[in-house]
Amino acid sequence: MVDPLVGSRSSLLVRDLGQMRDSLSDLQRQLSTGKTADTYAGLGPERSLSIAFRSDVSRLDSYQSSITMVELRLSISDQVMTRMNDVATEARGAMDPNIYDLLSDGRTQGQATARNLLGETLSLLNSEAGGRHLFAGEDVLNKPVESLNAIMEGEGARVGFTQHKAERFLADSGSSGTGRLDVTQPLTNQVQMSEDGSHPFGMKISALNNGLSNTTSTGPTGDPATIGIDFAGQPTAGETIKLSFDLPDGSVTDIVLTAAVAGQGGDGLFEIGATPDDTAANLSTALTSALQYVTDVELQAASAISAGEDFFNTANGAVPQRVDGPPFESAIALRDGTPEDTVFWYKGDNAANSARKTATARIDDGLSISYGARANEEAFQVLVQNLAVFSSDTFVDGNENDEARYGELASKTVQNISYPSGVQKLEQIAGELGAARSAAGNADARHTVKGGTLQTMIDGIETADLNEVSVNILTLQTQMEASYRATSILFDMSLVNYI
Amino acid sequence: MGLSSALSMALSGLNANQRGLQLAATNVANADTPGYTAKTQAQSVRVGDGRVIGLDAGVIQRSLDQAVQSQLRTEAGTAAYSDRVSSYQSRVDELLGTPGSNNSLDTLFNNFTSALEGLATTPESFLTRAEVLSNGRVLASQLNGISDDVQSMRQENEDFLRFGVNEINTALQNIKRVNDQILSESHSATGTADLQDQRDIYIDELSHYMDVRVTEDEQGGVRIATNGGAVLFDRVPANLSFDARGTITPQTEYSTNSDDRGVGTINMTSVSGLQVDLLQPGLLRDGALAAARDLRDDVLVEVQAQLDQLAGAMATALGTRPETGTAVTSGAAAGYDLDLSGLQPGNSFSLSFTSNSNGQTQTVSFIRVDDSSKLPLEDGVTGRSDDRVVGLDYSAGAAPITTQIQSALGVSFSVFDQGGDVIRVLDDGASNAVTVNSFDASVSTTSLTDDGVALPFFIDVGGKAFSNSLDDIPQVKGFAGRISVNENLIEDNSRLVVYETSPDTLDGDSTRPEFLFEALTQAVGSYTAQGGIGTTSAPFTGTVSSFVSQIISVRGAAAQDAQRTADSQRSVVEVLENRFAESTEVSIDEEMARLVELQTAYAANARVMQVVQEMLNTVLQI
Repeated sequence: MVDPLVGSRSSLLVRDLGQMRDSLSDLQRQLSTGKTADTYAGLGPERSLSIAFRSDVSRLDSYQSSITMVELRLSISDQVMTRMNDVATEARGAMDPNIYDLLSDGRTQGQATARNLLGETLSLLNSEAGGRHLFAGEDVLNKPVESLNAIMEGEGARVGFTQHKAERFLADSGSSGTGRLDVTQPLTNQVQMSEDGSHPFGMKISALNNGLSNTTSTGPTGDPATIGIDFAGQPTAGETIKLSFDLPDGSVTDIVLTAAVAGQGGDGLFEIGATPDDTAANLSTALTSALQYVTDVELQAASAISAGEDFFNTANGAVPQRVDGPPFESAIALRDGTPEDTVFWYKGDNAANSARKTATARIDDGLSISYGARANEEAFQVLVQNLAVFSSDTFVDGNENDEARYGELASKTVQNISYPSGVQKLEQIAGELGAARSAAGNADARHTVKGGTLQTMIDGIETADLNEVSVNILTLQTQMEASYRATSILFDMSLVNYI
Repeated sequence: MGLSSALSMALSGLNANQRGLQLAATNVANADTPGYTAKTQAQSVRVGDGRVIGLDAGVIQRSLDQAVQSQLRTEAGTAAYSDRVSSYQSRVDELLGTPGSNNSLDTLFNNFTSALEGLATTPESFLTRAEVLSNGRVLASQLNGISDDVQSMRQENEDFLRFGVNEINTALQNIKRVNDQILSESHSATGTADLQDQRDIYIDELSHYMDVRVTEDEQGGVRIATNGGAVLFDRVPANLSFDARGTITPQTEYSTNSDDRGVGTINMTSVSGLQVDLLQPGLLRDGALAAARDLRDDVLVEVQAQLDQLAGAMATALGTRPETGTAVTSGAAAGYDLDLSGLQPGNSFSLSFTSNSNGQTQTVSFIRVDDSSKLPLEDGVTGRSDDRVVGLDYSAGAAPITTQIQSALGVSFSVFDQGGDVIRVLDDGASNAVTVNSFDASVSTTSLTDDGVALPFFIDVGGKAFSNSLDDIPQVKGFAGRISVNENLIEDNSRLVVYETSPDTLDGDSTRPEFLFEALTQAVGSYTAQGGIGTTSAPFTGTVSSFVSQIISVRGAAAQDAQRTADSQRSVVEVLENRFAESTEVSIDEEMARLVELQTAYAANARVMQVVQEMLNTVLQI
């Protein structure tokens, strides 16, 4: 039943009082909640600002929580990078070519240190932050690098570095131990040296410098390269012949043989025989033994370096390379290792894109930072590879060739981990991660300031001014008291009371 | 003049005094009775043979300002309308949540996008993924809840209309009864003031429901019609009946055509026997019934459309992958090949070309329609103002669409079916009247993996992808009530990150999370004008995020406007009520004064009678 429109004046008065009561309760609500309104309608025309600001604040909050997360990861990365730098420094100290103090296992103290440093490096590369591996590219849930033992010694059917290095040395030295070079005498007054095939192994003849009189020389010509020396007459004592070779790791070595009068031969000399034929035979023998020495010393060191390159350089989707054999001595090519037959030291994401791009975080509208890293990036790989190469070799006490080889090996590895120009340095990675971190820090500071401003504006719209509310309540109270009084007087003033 | 005439004069005075006393008593007793108007009684001199022979009590009259009464009725009807609309607008506003509270729609949406941002930073974490899903589910279920509430509000208004029909019929019957009585007693000496009061009570009740215009004829009968012209009462009442339909859902809407109507309506059999649909536009303009109708068929439908659009926009943003055409040339003609194999009903592809005669760029949007009864489509369905929309009849499969595209594009273009659902469009080559700029499709993904970076995150009931299909009932209608997070995704939350399975996307790959985040917060889309936000010629464009803000702002503003209108209307009514009360109110003071007056007059008349008696006694004792 709807009220008829004809009401009495008293009910209208009571309704007015009721409305004042409603206003009072609204003011009380404002006082207790501190909010001007509990609905969007109540906020007035500024509601769209309030909603927009809230959405901005929420977005800034989510950026900031991303930044906090990234900060955590980058601070761990930063510690790793700092330690890694120290490892490289310590490693350079350990690889002293002049300190050759073998321990009982055939390794020097420096090599033992290097192995420990290698273990530490690998564990640093397996660093994680909250279950996320920081050097695994996008494959963040799995450890990016294998254990030290697996990498060095292999695991089950999978071959490790030591084995590969041995195979590689077989391929580099060849069956005769002359660095895949054959020394022959097609005619009795001739000496000929030729590479045994077109392949990446062993020594490559790069130049022939013949200072022997009464001889003619050819080469190096062809591929595989050949050189030849014809003895038309006898050379004079003291004259030299110099052969230059490229080693597999890109270094070069020379063999210099000097003609000596009969009975005065030795290392680096060849005797002038009775006839040119004899001299040629002597040169051939001296050459062969010089090649065997170089193979044993320089080539073996260079072969170890190359083996490291084969095994560890897997950046941008490459796979470890193995010698295509057996037989390894006559191998003519490298082949791709497979996960079944070779330990892949780096197991993480290995796509061809930039390692940094493997982790990105949006830290502001239209601003992302890239802070990913892969353990097989060049700077890391160089460190791991050279520590592995250096620490893997063994030596025999008292063997002069071994001591010379150690010197070769140490100087090659120490040079490599000194990061020559053209090689990515640890500092570069640290610098890039640091730049990302500082961008995140700047964005964080920006967001804090902006968020504060926005919150102030939201408060300005949504928060009730308590002073104003209190004054309003007082005013309303006065009004209501007056109204009650007036109403009561009005009801009292009736003729009924006076007759 | 004799003693007897004096006696009878005094007697008629006493009679008049008694009636006056009775009237005063009635007035005082009913001073606070709702609907009672103060009554006055005129007195007149009874004249016989040119001389005063007594006193006549006149007709009892109501003290009432009829102009104010009719204005008050009109305004009260308007107030009933605006009150009802305002109360529902406020409820809708409250449904969207308290500003800044944890359950308000924008907070839930922001939480969802924040979770996506977190996922982009830490895609490998099971917990981060689970958080995205749980925030998505909360958002979806909040939309479901709001949508259900909106529909139950529509149902309440439907029920109110049904209830109103009974009330109105009762009121009309009562009006007839009282009106008949008034007509039959129109010649009674005391008049029909009390009956008129009663009739006004019923008419007032009527004016709460609808805007009525009351006209009174000479005999005192009334004729009642709505301002829209529907006659409710003219001696006999019209009969109202409620033509009910089933439960209200987002798909049920009002139509003037009885066969298409999904909601109930009020049929009125008029005084003259004519049957009209009282809820058709124009007949009811004000009052609670008109408010209930407008809420059910207009305001709340619009709210639902806004929610549906939001739900649709979320599903579309996350679940649509672009299919870009491949540029091809054939002789001098250049154009594009476009693979349409993934095209779902409601998906569109568009061709942009430049007319070289005037340099203008035009866009034609083609939409897959499987239900040929929906063709042709209006331009408004795409939410773009710069395109021409062509619905492609897929009811016979994809084969015939080449012809349809050709005929839509005209002779400047050549359209070929390249087989395998690839369509080739070439321009006119050497004649160079047109140049094709692009030919791209937007395809709803249906699979969690190997279907692009987009993801069917939000889906329709039955695991169906949301493709904005226009077939049968448009899919977007009521989608807010049905939207849910893909169950398959909940079973295997790694799919939030893994978008390719050969080989598997890596755990740390943030491509998909970043796409999802950007789709909601950065990618700008345009929205159709169905929800009343934007217009067909200038559609609202912005991110999904901004659309959420827009909806809340629009609802808040609507609630505030309705509140203001209701408030101001209420004060108009109050002023009128006060004025009306001034004219109708019983003044106790006046009644008391009259009582004193009547008492004195009664004593005086009695004294006259006493004196006459004494005089007669004196005469008799002679």
